Amino acid sequence: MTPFTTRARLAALAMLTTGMMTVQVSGHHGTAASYDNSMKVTVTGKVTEFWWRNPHSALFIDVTDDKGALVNWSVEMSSPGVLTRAGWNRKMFVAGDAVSIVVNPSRAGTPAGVCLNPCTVTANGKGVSAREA
Amino acid sequence: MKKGMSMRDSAIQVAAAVALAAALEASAASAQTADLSGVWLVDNSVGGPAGKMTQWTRQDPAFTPEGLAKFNANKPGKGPRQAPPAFGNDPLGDANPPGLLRTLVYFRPIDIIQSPDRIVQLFEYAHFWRTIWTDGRPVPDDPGPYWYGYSVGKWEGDTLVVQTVGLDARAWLDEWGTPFSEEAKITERWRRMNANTIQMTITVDDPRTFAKPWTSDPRTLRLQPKGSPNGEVLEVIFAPMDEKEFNDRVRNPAGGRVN
Repeated sequence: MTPFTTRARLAALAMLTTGMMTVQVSGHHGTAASYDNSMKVTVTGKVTEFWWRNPHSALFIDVTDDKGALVNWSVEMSSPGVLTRAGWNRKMFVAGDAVSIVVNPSRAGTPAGVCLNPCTVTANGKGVSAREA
Repeated sequence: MKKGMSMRDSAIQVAAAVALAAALEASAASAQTADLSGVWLVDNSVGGPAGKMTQWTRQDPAFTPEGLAKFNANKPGKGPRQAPPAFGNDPLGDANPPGLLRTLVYFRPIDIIQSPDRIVQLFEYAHFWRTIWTDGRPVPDDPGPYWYGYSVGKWEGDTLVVQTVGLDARAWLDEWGTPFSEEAKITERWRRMNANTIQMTITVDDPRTFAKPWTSDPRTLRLQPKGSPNGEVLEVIFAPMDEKEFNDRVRNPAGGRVN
């Protein structure tokens, strides 16, 4: 599969939102280089894993594509230190949660995105702040 | 006579009181200025944009041919030369230590603990520490190499002047892949400006890497009160097993690299 068709599939997979304000993306090593911070994509699906670990936390989401196949997205997030200071914790998401998250997608067109603090996620119909312990 | 004695006594008392007050004031000033204790965070809003080579200064230092070759060989994931880390060679990408200079330029809290013979800095970034010896020992001839160097400090008024040598040159000087050699001699100046502010600079003397010594732009650190979000250092360890899984499942796929 060429990168272009991969990208086209991903565009179909995820609802593309345009005209949104871009935010400064900065990570501790190379986040901005891997992701397109001029672009925003909403990823909607079911959580398969949530990593609360360094160097960056990550949320994995099963997304159903237009042909009904499941594609697992990775969403890179800030480190636990940064997220702890933002009021998050390791129990923020569990497998099976229905989530919707706006990410800057991978420049390579793979099913990957980044959402660094401040990151807004809707989980089971509520903002993540509702799940803070 | 009695009255005269009384006046003289009063004069002595006043003089003693003035001297005592001056001594107390000097002591308080000294205690405040020659003290770096507390949790500090670099204020990234101060200093403006950096140059094109290193985060430490807006005036790009001149490399030697050897320094330029190393600079070009380093492929960072951040800064003006950033590339997707999936195709870079940042030593941190495999959970190696960032080392002293890269830690000092990064935006994470530093807990400074001061005792009469040493100052210990606890770095949240990658969960390391270093000791600055203030017991009058000389700078050793050829120590290390150490990822965090060997540091000897002395107070010059309100400024702690630190000589750091023996740095392991596999580390980078900053997040942007700026190199240095094991011959690098670093002079750090940590000046307590007031109760809430430290200003620090580094001077890099490394004739193998740079054509001449250069001094960084001043960096401002702000005291982080207890109970504030950055008021204590957290555990930020880059565990190799976590880093490998992150590379395999997040960083490399995001960069388009097939594992």
